[in-house]
Amino acid sequence: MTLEKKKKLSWAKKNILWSIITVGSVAITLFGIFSQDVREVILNGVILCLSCIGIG
Amino acid sequence: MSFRATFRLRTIVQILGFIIPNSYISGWLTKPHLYTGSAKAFAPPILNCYACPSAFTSCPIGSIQHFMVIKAIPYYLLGVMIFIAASIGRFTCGWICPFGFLQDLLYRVRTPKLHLPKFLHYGRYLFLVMTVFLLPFLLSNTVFCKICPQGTLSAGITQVLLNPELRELIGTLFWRKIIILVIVITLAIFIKRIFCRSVCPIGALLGLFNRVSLLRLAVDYEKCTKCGFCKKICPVDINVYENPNSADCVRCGLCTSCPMGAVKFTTIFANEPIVENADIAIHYNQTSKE
Repeated sequence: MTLEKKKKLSWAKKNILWSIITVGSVAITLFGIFSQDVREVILNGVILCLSCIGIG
Repeated sequence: MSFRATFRLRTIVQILGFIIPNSYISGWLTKPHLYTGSAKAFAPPILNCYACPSAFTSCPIGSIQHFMVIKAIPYYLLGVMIFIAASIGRFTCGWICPFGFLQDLLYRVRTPKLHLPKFLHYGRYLFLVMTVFLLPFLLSNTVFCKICPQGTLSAGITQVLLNPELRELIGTLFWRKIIILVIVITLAIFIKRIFCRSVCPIGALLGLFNRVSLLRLAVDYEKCTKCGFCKKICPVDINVYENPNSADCVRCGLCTSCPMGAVKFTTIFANEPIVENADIAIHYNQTSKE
């Protein structure tokens, strides 16, 4: 295989991988939003975060 | 864009990156309190403690740990982080993160400079796996928050100063965190972004996607003279011509001011396949000469 072909193949692989990762991350985000009470969990974390202050 | 113009633009954006997520001024006034509105549910991929009285947004690392503590998978946080990483890589580390900005400022102090040993670059992956996912899950405790210097600086010190009643609760954890903060600040004067490169779990997670992110750096090896300008100005000490999309790269763009015009920002969809690896480029140059 010539170097030019190798480069094109590598370029195509990266594009496909990028598309899969992007679509997958959007799907994971939406799944998280609709299946978990994200706001509640994060805000509970904020309120209880005494470790950040150095107390606990 | 010239080096000076890129540098100035980046500094302005970094200042805004510090101010905007920390613009809840009423948290400092009268009775100090934390913001708990809708914006707090958003966790941008920057190290900015959500227990700071002026913090508008959440810390992704603190929030992920909290999900692990309650034995839940942080789908939303991981999804957002991976989406941003797949789009712009570690761009937020280089342009927005307040703790990265602080380290950039500290490194400007005129002293003899040191290099970070290569093996320490892997430390951030250890911190990511152990202190953000595994230990919080096993111990039901936010382990990374207990060592986080950014938390000490923006939340610990400020909360203790603003709330006299908290001063009575200070224990060994607080002083241990202060020691860690002092060590990190001191080392950051001598070593370029030591925390980002060897400890930061956000950088570890985002950096995993640098090689396949939409925004990327490309080197034109026909123009590159390997003069070393890119490594000299790089805030994380990368030899850009060897590995422009290294997991360490914070996408600051300073190297795009290369005097030979050999480095540029591009996208994964660039029409021409990008030559990324120096070995391929050397081989390419050799075969084209033959």
